[in-house]
Order: sequence, then C-alpha cells, then structure tokens
Amino acid sequence: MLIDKSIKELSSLLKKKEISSIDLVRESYSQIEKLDNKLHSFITIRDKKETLKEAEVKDKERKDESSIIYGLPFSIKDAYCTKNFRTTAGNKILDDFYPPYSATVYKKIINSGSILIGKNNMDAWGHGGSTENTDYQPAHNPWDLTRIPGGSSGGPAIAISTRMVPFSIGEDTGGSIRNPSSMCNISGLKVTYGRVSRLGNIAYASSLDSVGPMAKSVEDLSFLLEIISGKDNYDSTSSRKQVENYNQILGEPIKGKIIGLPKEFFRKGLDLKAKGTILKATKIFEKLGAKIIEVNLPHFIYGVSIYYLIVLSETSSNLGRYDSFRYGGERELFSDETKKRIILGTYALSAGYSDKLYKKAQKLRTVLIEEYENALKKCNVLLAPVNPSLPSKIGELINDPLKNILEDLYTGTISLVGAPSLSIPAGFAEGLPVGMQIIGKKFGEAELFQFGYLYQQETDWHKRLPPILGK
Amino acid sequence: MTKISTDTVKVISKLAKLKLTEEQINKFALDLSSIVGQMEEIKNLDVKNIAETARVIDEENILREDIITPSFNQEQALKNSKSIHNGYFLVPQILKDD
Repeated sequence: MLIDKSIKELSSLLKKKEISSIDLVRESYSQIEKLDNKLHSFITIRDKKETLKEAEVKDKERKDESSIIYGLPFSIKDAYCTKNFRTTAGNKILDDFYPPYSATVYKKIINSGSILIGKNNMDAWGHGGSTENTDYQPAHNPWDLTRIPGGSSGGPAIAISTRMVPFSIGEDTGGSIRNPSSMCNISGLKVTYGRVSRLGNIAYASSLDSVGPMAKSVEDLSFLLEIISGKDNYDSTSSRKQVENYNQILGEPIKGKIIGLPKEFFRKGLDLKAKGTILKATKIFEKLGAKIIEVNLPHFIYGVSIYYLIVLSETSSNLGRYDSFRYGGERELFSDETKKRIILGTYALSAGYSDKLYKKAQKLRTVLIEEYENALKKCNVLLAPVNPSLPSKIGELINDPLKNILEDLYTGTISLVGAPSLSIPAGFAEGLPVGMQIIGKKFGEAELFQFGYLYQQETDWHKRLPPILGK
Repeated sequence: MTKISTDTVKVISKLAKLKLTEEQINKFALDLSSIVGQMEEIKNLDVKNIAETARVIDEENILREDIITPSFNQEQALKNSKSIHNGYFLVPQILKDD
C-alpha cells in the first residue's frame, strides 16, 4: 500500500520514477471507493478523470527542485475555501457555495504541487468534537464503526488513518485537529495562533482558530508545517516570525529536558485506561533522558466554561454573516446544535449579561495565560491527555449537550493560551486509539517535533492500521 | 441554577435572527440551562484588576503595503447569490420611507 509510506519515501520514489503520481491518485480513489460509504470521510470528491489528468501532468513536469509534497494526493477539511470548488463547512447553508477565491493554506499546498482529492467531512462550522453535527452523514471511526472518529476535523483524520491520502489540512479551535487525531490514531498539529494564515478558513472563533497539518507521523508534519507557515498579507493576525526548517531538529536528543504533567489534567474525569496509557508514555520519555515533573495550572479546571463563553460569543458574531443575500441559504438551515451555540453566544454578549459572562471569561483567559507561562518556566513542554474519554458510541455526545462540551477540557484551554500542541498516538485502550498532547511555548513547534519524533522512533503505535483495512 | 427561560430563548433568537419552532424553544431552554448552569462555576472567581485578553498574538499592526491589486470582478462577487438585481445584491428594506 503506497500511501502507507512516509512523505519522504514517497517523494524519493516519485523522483526516481519507481512510482508515479498516477499510481498514488489511483490508490487514493480505490481506498475511498472501498471504504468511504461506511466511514463518510468526504463531502465532495473531485472527478477522478480530471484528477488523473492532473497527476499525469505532475509526473511529466516534476523537476529536481520540486517540493517534497509535489505530486502527492491530499485532502482538506471542508472549512477551507477552494476557488470554484464546492465548500460547505458541513452545513446545507453552503450546499451550493462555490468560493470566488482560495484559502492561503490551500494555495500553498497546491503551489507545492500536491493534488486535491476532495473536501472532508466535519462538524458544521467547527461546532463539535465528533463529526456528528454534519449535514453530510455522521462520520464513523475506522477502528470501530459504531464509534465517533472525533471532530471537528473527523473527515481528514479518517482519510489519513485509512490511507486514503498521505496528509490533510485540518483546523483546530478547541481541539478539532487534536481530538480526531487521537481517536483515529494519527498525528496532528495545532499550531501557535498566528503561525499559519487563516485567510479562506471559514471562521469559528477568530481569536482561537488555528490552521494545521494532519498526517501519519511527526516527520511528515514537519515538512508540511514549513510549507504552510508564514506571514500572509491578507491575514493581519498572521505572524511575521521567521518560518524554521522544522525537519532539521528531528533526531536531536531530549536528554536533560523537562516534561511537565499538569496536575489538573490527570485527576478525576479522565478515563482511567486512557490515563494509564499516557502515563506509560512518560516512561519512554524518561528512557530518552527527559525528566518528568508535576506542574500546576489551578484555574484550568474552569477551562470548559471560559472556553465556551469565548468561542460561542465569537461564533455568534461570525455566523451573523450568513444572511442568505450575498451567498448561502436561509439561517433556518443551521442545525439545532449550531442554533443553540449562536443563542448562547448572543446571550453571553447581551446587555446585562456580557460583564459577568463574556468579559469575565476574557479576564479569566488572562489568568490562564499567566498560569501557563509560569508552568513553562519550570519545564520545556507539557504532556497531557487529549480527550477525557475514549471514543464514544455514535449518538452519545450529540444528544448530551453538557457531556459534549466537557470533552474539550484539555484542548480548549490550550487554545485559549494560543500555544502549539502536537497530538500523537500513545497506545490503545479497549482496542481504541489513545493520543497524547505535547504542548509547548508559543512558536515552539520545533521542540514539540523533537519530542514527538523520538517517541515515534521508540514506539510503533502510529504505524498501526485500523482493522477495516484487513491487514 | 440559572435557568434560561423560554422567553429568554425567544428574545435572544430574535436578536440572532433565528426563527425557532415551539419544540425548539422548549428543548433549547432546557439544554442551554444545563450548560449555563455548568458555567456558574466561574461566578465566585475574583477577577478584580485583571485586564481582559482579546488577542493572543503579541505583534501589532501586521499590515500590508497600501497598493491596489485586482480583487473579484462583479460577476465573481455576485455568483453565489440567489438575490440579485441589475448587478446589485437585493436585500429587504430596512429604512422606512417617510
């Protein structure tokens, strides 16, 4: 199975002409045709004839200096505008929306020579952690079809887990890359806020939304991050900070470095089996020479409330643009889940309530940032769980509004700080994947990769394939 | 526990331009009450003298050169609308004639 190989390997084989882009695109469609009617990873798939023609051109025009992702098939969460190609954000309001422009991240990937296969399924507008809040069929976890794949970037996570594509671009506001990466056994990166341009990303909460790569390994992510990062003239929140060669640091030892375990993330509420799996991972880091300490993030226990007061307020404002006049259908087409979020956000911003709800949450955000920075004075990175529970059965979370939002405790809080966080496979519990977060200082993605890469040299969780592939 | 009443849902949904059915109003009032109830946990936290955080990027004024470059043409800008007239977006009247 070619798509099981790393980006580096695929690039090398393509360069030597031992395989072709046509081979890869054919395999991609074959996987989708075999599996996607059970999984619903995709909302819109490009015409196969057209894509194969594009692959043929790529094979002819490849040069020595072509990008490492030149000629590779990829997919992208349907939260990104792709010019003249349908973009829905998972909801029927945009069912027939054909963007007049492309997202910057999409342009960067295409300009590097990759080939778009299709747009992935997601919780509409980013509203959810299970890819059930979608108008395009709830998605299924390839490790257990009765369970959720996580969300809101569930579609991309499924596609990578089942080797439909070697990489994808997701989006993370409060866990939407990390959560499905953990539940589907792949590697995903929530970047530092501002590292990657958000132009063309259909906004959820503008002070938290982060554009990021999803792939089979940390090594693959390191190539992708370098390609997609950087200041964009069209995004005034994109950082001027230099883009590093993220691949260079891979393999450098972590001896003497310190990993902090936040006490508040390992207490009751975390599934015991998931906890055990992650604590086992710390033994690997100790074997690699790192030291483990406990750190405190006292106000992080209020994280779900602080997070939701801010994101719901921001989303109620962002979704105001869907007035059906310039684009899109009527507001009645929003799902109940989305309507509830808009109402709660509007309430939190309304006169008489905004001081004790939204503004108070903004002040508590300042407290979280300070506690976070203090913790990172004592260690290089934090290690944390991704989700409080193992992947739920489909229907469980979407029908329990409170349980649904409590799933975001370990991820939403990190988003509030703007910090980068890497989610990588840490093992299995009850046959289901368990991921862990490696979280760092702002713009400290290289260090996260350093830890993650060494862990993936010592373990093979990330190489395991879901039973649906029959291997 | 703070309860979100059906009246509150009606008022807020009007502000948010969402038309809800009776069934939705009742269900939302229940669901949102449980979530707002959870959020009561921040009620007694002291935030006196703490500044609000609105942005988590430290850089300011990330601007571009003030140079005009091609944007959308009219056709592109209008193509996704179902409500156009003579090259304009057609919207409901907001200001009344006096």
